[in-house]
Amino acid sequence: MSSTYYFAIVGTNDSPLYETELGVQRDESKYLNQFIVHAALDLVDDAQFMSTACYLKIVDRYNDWNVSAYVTPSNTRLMLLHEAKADDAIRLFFTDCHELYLKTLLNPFYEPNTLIQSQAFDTKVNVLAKKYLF
Amino acid sequence: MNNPQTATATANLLAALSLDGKDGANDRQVNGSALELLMSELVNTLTRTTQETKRGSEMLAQSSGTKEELADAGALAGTPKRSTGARSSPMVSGWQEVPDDSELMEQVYVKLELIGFRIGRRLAERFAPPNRRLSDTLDIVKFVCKDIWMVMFNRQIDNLKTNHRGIYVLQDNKFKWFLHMSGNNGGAAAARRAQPYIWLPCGIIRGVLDSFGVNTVVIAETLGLPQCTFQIKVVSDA
Repeated sequence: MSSTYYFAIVGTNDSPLYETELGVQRDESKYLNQFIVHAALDLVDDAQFMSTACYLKIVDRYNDWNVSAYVTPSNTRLMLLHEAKADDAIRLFFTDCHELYLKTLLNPFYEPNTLIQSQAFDTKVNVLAKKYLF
Repeated sequence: MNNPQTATATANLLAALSLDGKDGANDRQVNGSALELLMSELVNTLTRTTQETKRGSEMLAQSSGTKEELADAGALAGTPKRSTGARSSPMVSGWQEVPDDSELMEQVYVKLELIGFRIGRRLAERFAPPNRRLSDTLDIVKFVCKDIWMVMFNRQIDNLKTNHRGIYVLQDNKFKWFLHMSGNNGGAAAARRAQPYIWLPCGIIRGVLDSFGVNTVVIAETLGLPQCTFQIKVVSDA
């Protein structure tokens, strides 16, 4: 069982604001990750109406991959592609990533719904991933 | 839902954002009056700079383009130059009367509203209830009335009325920023002069609603200091 994850933050117009691959990556699946996440967005929309919680657990499956989602109050979606099932760890990971996203938003020079290009953000996401997902 | 886990996660989030009510030693606090003063000054400054910009661009349009006139117009950057005939008043930071120029106030309105909009979007995400998403428009407006107003003014909206068809009226009887403005016992002139100061909260309300996906138009009016009314009209995408 390889522990690879693909994490993406998708804005309100369905374009990714931030993406990263965590863990060991297999070469052939890089382009596929974006495709899977994008296809899962529809299911996230459906699941949104089913529950008022922010963390929607696994919304979609593709072959071996599971897609988990977390929706923030302003409809920004945090999506995680994973193979292993680890509900609680993923929920904590999402909560901390939401916190990081909030801090990015509080930066007055950051325009919401644009790419997050900060190196510090990237580093912190990797730290969180090491803490919760590995 | 694993309750202890969610509880600790929420506690972590709140603690990290210094929202959990525990006054950490690292918390830096700012006097609330500073915000009020900033907001009042914001309106004055924007009006003044918009006036200068307007006057500058009018001069540029009229001038023959000699260097000296352009240099004078270049004083838009804010450094006061010796007054020439074309520039009537030196830079003072207060003004007695709302400039009658409606085009100018229109520009100031647009700027203030846009600033408020940007603030509102961030406020909404920051202070939205952590583990619950608001779906109903009425819930969202109530969130504005209670939580956002509490964050900004340390009190809640006094009165919320709705016609359940997309119009909400929020009434605040003791609007914080008006409390320190002398109102000549609530005369109409004072109310007119106070108009620019409520454009910023209009923008903030619109920003908060927009970040929840509700398109609105927000109008504010004041009938007598310190009371003010905000009217929210939901614009449905047709």
